[in-house]
Amino acid sequence: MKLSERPMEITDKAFRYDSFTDGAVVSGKITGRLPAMGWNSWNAFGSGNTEALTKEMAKKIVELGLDKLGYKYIVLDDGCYKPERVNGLLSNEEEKFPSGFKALADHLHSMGLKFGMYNDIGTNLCAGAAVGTCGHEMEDAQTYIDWDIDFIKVDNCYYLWDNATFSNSENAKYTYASAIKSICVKGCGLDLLYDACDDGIVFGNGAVVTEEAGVKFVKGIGTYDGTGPDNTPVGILSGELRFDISADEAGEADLTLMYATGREPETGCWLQVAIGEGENAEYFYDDLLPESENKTTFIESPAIKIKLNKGKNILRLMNHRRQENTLYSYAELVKGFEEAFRNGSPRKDILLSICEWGKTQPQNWGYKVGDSWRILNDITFQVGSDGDPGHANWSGDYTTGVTNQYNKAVIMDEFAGLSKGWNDPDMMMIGMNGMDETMCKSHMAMWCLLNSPLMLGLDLRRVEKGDPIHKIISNKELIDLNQDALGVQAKRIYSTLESVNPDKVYLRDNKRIDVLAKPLSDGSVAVGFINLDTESSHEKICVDKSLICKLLRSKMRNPEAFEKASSYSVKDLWSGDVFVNESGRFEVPELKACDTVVWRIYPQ
Amino acid sequence: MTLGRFVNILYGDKGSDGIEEARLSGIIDRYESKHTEIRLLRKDAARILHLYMQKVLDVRDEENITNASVLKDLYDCRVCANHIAQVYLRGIMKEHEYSNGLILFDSDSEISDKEGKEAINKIHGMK
Repeated sequence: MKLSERPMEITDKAFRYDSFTDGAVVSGKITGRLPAMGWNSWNAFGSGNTEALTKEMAKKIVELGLDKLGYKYIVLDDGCYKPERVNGLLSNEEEKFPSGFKALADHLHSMGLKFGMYNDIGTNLCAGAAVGTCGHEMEDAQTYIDWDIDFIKVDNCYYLWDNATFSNSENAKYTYASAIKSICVKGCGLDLLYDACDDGIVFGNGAVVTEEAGVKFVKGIGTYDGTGPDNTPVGILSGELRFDISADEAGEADLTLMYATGREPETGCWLQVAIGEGENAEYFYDDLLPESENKTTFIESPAIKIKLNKGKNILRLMNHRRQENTLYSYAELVKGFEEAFRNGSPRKDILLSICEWGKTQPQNWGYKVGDSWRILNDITFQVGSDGDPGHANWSGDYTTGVTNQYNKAVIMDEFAGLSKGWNDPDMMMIGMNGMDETMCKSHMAMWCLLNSPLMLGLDLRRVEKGDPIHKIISNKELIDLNQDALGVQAKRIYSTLESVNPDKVYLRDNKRIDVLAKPLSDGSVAVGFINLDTESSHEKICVDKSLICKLLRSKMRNPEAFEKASSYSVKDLWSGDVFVNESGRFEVPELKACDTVVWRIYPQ
Repeated sequence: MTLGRFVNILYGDKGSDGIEEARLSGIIDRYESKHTEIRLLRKDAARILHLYMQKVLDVRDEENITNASVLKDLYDCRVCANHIAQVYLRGIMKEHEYSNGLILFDSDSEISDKEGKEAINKIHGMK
């Protein structure tokens, strides 16, 4: 099969950046699901997972009673397919999975569990097998339905339209617009030259006015790469160059640009031209521009026909294709499932776990197609194998650590919800080397409060009923927070490093204590006090009912009852202790290094 | 350098027996054992060497791989970052330094005969 040489043409407004805030989802996306719970093979076994190991994990899930607590999905990550397609189709790696995936699905289903698999929107999987869904979405969707899967995690390696992992780095040409020096508009009574730097409006974030070789121009028109931890996920994460153009009459005009192209982040070749915003946006160009000699040699574009309205027009020069292309590719797989159902396959629930590592800011669009979206690159690169638990960090380099993932996820609560889906700070690392019991407890508490998918990532043969790890992963009261029917991710209502906008400011200094609050369906509120630091804290931390209600009022079931309660019954979700609070001020006097206190507070 | 030649030198010039031994030890997979003619990339050499260290030499991993992050492309490869870090931190495979100061592992470039033999010599020196 010959793959396309350019990104798909987007004709459906549903995939446009301007539709990202409309709340609409693609056909086949089911809303109202709570975060998925289960076990994923990656952190435990990397590419070395096998059918035998998977069956042992399933057996342990049941033996440990974890299935009864909601851990239902058994997900095969990378490393389970043949390295190439067979007659155009996916097939099982026969040494590792000799019985095939349908037989494994049947086995898991017979145990009351659900079966999850893995693929990629690129040409290859991250571990290299040339069996990505790119261009094969329809037949792969049918194959997955034939295998009776319930869940699919879809990665982003070798993606053709972005400079993703293992992709051609020059794919940046698709994700950034050219550098722009000036534009000219002729028609509708206008014959005007606009300087990009003096007359243009650099809108959003990322696009900048710059000067090279004595020439001033605008570059960086595109979307931030969110794979690494450097940028906040909150706010506008892309940049456009805009011009206010007033026309005395409505009609057609010619737009030409002086531009220069590149094939690297900040300077690409793909331009989108639109007039207007939101649902009124009308697109006039969405394509590659002819390439210039280099990124500072400016050339004149062919004339682009635009339609101006009488009066003020917002002319937008932009490139939102990084997000739009990725959304489109994930949607193709959902479309494939829908097609298979229409063709007679029995309809069933299949969860889609988007794993593009936060690269294209999926918090903006993931809800349209998926049930969760990864927010960063991997939580650990030191995954285990049979006999080696792998290594985890509390706080590490790049994205590798519990706190590295938490720090981003904790300000992303507004992107999550029952009508959308869930932020995914990656599989859990509880039980891996490098994490002590306190860290594991806090890791579990964080993921529960954040409404993250709860995917265990350890070799469960190392767990016995009643041991410390089992007690942590089977803490029903914490799981109840994660699975609460109200479906609200906790909000950070206070941090020792930020008291003004604790729910919005991206904090990466771990010498702090955060307080999170999560409204629950029975009118109670969970409050978590989290010490991110590896030193103990003897600072008294206090939040009161008015602060909780002020920041969570619109999401609470009955904020008045909570605020006006005469007393509160407070349950410690780790110790099980219950006490009465009459002040409405909730405080902890100290916290051990990396420790967490989680209370469920019931108004009386 | 081809995968077959690399594995053959690593296993002491045993020919197809060495390839089979590597497969049975989980150092290479079945596909690789049947496609020994493929040109070996540096990331795959790092994986083979790391797995050999773990499974044959019983060498424990360095837990803290932070120092390997001087390689600006370390985390570009989620499935090989640890393999690269482990061989890099032990000096078994080296970085590529560019004139603009950029230090990369260059995981997608092919390993040269010289680099391959040097790395294997270092591994054999660990026995």
